[in-house]
Amino acid sequence: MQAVTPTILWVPGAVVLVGIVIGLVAEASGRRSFGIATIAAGLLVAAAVSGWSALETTVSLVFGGLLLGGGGFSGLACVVYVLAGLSILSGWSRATSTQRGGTVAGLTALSAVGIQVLASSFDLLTAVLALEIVAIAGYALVSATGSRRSDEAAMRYFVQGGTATGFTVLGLAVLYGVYGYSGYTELVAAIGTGSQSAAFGMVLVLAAFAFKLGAVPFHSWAPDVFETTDASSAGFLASAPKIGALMALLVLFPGGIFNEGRFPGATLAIATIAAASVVLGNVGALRQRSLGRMLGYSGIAQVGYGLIGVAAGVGGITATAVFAVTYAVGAAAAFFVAEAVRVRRPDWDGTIAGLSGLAAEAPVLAAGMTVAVLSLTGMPLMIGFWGKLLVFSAAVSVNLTWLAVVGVIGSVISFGYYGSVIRSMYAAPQEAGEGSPGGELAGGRMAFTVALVAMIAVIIGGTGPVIAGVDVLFRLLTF
Amino acid sequence: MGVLLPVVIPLAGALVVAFAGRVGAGGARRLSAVVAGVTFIATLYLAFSWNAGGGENIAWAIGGSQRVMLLRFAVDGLSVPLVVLTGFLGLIAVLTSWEVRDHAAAHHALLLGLEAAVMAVFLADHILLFYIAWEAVLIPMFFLISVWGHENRRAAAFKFFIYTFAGSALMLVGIITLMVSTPMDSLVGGMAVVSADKQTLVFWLLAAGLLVKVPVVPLHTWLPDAHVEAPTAGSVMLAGVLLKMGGYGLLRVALPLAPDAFRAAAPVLAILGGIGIVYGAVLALGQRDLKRLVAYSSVAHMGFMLLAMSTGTALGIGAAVLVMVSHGLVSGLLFFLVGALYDRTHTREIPRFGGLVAQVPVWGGVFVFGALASLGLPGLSGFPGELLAVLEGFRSFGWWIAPVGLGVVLGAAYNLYAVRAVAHGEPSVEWQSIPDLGMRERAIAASFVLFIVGLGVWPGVVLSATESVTRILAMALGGGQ
Repeated sequence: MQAVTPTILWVPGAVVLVGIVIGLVAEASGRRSFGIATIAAGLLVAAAVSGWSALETTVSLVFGGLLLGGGGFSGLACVVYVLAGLSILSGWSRATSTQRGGTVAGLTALSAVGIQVLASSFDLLTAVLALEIVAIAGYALVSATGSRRSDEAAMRYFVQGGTATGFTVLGLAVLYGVYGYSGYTELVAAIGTGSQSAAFGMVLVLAAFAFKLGAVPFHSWAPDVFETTDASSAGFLASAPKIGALMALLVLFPGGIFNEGRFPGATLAIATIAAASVVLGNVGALRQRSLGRMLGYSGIAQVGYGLIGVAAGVGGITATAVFAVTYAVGAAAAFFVAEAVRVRRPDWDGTIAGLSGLAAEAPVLAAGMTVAVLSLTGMPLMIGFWGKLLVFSAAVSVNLTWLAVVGVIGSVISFGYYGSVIRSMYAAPQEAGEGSPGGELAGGRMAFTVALVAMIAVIIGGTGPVIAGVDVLFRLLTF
Repeated sequence: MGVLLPVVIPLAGALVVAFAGRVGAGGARRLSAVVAGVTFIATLYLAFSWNAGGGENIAWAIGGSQRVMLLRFAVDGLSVPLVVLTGFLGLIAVLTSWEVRDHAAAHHALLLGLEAAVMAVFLADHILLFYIAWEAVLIPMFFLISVWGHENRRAAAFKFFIYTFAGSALMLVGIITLMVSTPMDSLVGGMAVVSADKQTLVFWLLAAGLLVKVPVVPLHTWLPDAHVEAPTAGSVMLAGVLLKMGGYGLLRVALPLAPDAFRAAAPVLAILGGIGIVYGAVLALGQRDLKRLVAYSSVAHMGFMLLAMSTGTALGIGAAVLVMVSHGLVSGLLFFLVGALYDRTHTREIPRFGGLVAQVPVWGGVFVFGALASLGLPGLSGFPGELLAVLEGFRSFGWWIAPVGLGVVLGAAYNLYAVRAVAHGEPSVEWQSIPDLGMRERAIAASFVLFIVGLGVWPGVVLSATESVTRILAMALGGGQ
């Protein structure tokens, strides 16, 4: 049954790109709301098409062997497009009222396309280009916040990203220079049993992806970025690019060129990065007062969990993909709720302590944040549990039990800071009489709705597999 | 289908109460009382139909996929007593929180959700479902303590969560390890044993989570704080039911899956149990806070449970279940009484009380009864289980069991100390005019008394229910009887 032809795999990206063009033209001609809505609509259509084409489980090569598509790759793309669309809708009230609104929406959508290409690239050159598109869109999204601190964060992000790009290009040069190929299939054949130059290239490529993921020791940009960027954009930046980068790593490492058969050190290197990220991210997050900064550090730890799955090898591919999706949904939900809180309390200073009294004032938002952080902790009944469970199972089944133990200890530590968010929200407000906010911003309902949608997604994703079997988790993710 | 009802009814009830929050406090509590009552009836129905079926396991499962079918519930002799206990205490918990005015709908929804989660722990047939339910218990309990608790509620709730989550996270690694190494995942009605080289690892990973919940002595420090700060209904559920999850998990998961490791660990468990009996009693004796005293007595009672279990004989394991059920009733009663007293006096300080038998005769009388049940007076529910624990312990461990005798004496000491200081002695002038237990509270107390006496006179009702399972477990450990 060939219900999905390779042609259709092009449709989502094309729809989004057309949407961006129409949206930006519309904005330029003074119809900003319409433009942003067009971009968001393009993303949601793309998500629907991707989701439909994910039902066809065969993975087919399209466009001259440069790209994989279909199956789980489309499933991941579906999630990425949904997150991008929600991110734009979440920031609706700000986007429609500021000059940069259309640009932010366009960059988010462009980045989403880049992520799809990155996740499914089957050629090192394509991967590097996609990585750059995502990275550059990321720098711009951070600086689009427009505060001095966000400019500084964007600058630092950009400089460090530039260094990482240098690594990537060098790695690409080494591999291409020695073997003369950039396509994965040709490289696999050419590298054979491995060589020192190939190992050198591997280290450089791994470093580049570790930077993109924000894994230790290339993590220092993450907290600043997520603290200073608008929560709606941060919700996208914290979630979707990690799906793309983790997927690309899976294709490169356990599945492809750098598999452990040829490079016995690769597993150890990834396992070390994973463990270090889990430990440093969790310990770093414990000391944070700002919600965004805390989520930035915790994102480092979460990437560590994803890398545990990568380290688990071929058996961990689906687990890692599921983890990437479940983490992305949970993290995005946390940021989208933060955005809705910002809309509700315009003078919120972004600290965790500043959330006090939220439960009494806006019970649904407090519940949404609770659900999001419990999911990030990995509590059962939330979607985040399944990702962690599968990743740990993958690690245990290849005798990396120590890595799983590091992971669960990290999860316990993580409740220290995730729980403090809950504690703060359900505490009485610090200043009495502060209870009445200055009224919602125009268009604030949208942020609230997105937060609600994200919360429901986390709960359904968490309870669904209990009722319908774990297979529902894999439905969109067959590789 | 009957096996599903004790989980589904409170869960559905919790959702209805939560979303029908507009009906006000009165509506919410009446609705929850009906739900909890129906749940209790459903557990009794399950017990009777299980008994009528000659003790055959009753199971229920739903579709899912061939690969992993999570939603499987089953009941056997080991879970029946605990399910009925949970049904009873779930109803009591709703009735004791009749006076909760602050966000009553949310409070009751959480109580019912908690009950559903605990039921799912006791009824889960799939090991992953067991874990999910086990963790799901934490969430409502965390909120019950941290929102409706006393002065230091937030710190206590946090400590409770972190301690138990740390244990259960390690338990998760154990569960994953055994899921990876054995193909079978059914908990009720036979499960493949983990291969010998992995048993020790799996057992101790599981035990890390289970022993925190019991709790055993070095890991018990979350318990007094959580108990003292929890609202009365939370304390009743925590002591009455949640602590049983640890013992149940040891018998349901750890023992059958890793019998060799369990046998090897038995002396350690016995020592931990013995330490719990003595140390818990010593700590209880030193308390000025009445609720804290009752909380520490739980540590001692759970020590008896662990000691009984570690003997590995059929009778010993049966005694462990008996101790669990009895402690659920006795500690539930005591926490209810302390809560009722606190509602009237807003203090729990033992030295401020005295002569309460004269001032509030019904409360005083029931309190004396509860203390006597707690110290193990023959004829009441505490006696048979703890006696069997000591006897079987003596058979298995010989004179090493002697220090437990000290614990028994100390147990009598702290209970009588509490009775003397609170119920008897010089009546304190401070509480001349506090009201005695009302009709609703008398009904609660009476039902506790009924069950405690009933179980004390007829402990066979639990022992015979569990017999089929305990015999299999003892056989797995290589014991004859």
